[in-house]
Amino acid sequence: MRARIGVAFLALALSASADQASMDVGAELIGTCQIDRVVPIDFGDLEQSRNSPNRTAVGAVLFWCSKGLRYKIKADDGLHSSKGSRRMKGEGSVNVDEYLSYDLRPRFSEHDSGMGPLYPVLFEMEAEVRGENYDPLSVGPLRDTVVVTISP
Amino acid sequence: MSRPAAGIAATVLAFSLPAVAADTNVDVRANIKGTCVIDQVTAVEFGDLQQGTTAPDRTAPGSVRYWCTKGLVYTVSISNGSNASGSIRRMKGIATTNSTEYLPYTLTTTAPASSTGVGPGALVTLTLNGTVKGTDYNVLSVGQLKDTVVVTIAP
Repeated sequence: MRARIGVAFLALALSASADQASMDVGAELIGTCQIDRVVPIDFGDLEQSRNSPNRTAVGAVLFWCSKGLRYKIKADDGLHSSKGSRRMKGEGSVNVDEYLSYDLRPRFSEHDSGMGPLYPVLFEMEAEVRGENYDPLSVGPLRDTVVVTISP
Repeated sequence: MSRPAAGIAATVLAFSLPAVAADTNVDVRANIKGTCVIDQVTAVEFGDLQQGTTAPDRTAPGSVRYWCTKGLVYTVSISNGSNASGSIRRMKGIATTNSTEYLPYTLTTTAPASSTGVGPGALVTLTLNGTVKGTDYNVLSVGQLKDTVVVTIAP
């Protein structure tokens, strides 16, 4: 009760003028893309012969982007590319100076719109190595690392 | 006066909110499997052994053609065959007339017991030379003899 009286008095003392203002309440959802999981592209054991077949392997990136956000997916040329050709590099003691070129192609569109975090998208990439390229190589493991960027 | 300024500030803030991209590393892996493959086998065939009072020793070549993955260290081993007596290789009679008889033979090769592969594009031929002594086959019965030796090229 005392508080109400006090307020009334103050209002009268300020020449009784009123005012009003509109106050905006705003927010903006930041367009976000987030990667949840990565499946490497693993060819496993490449078994040589005198006429080996081409071999394919599939990897994937599971991600989501904010609903309505247009995004594009880009994979770089990896760590060991030469003249536009992606290459794995030998990482064993016997094959450290050897390279195995491979093609990388997306299985789906690299442009789309996000559906939000509850609807992740599996972006699959298929890689292929040619038999004629791995037949002359030395025994041992090979590896490359490709950076996949999903950008609004 | 302060309201428009606040409005401008808010607008600037809205436009400066970044859209967040994501990136990740995707490994691409493979392994060249160490392999040895035998491409062709030529049997050690003595053909007809003709007995005589002084029958000569006879030799016959055989071969195994193979390749191993480049850089792969491998060994070559040859078994003593199916009818060995101790370390002595022997062919066994396979006809009704000689099924209990044996003909000893030796098998030699100049190839090293181990080596390093050079890949499927470069075939290696392992030559084996068999020898039988005239004094051994001179006492045998008529008929065919046979043995089977296992040649193993192993990483």
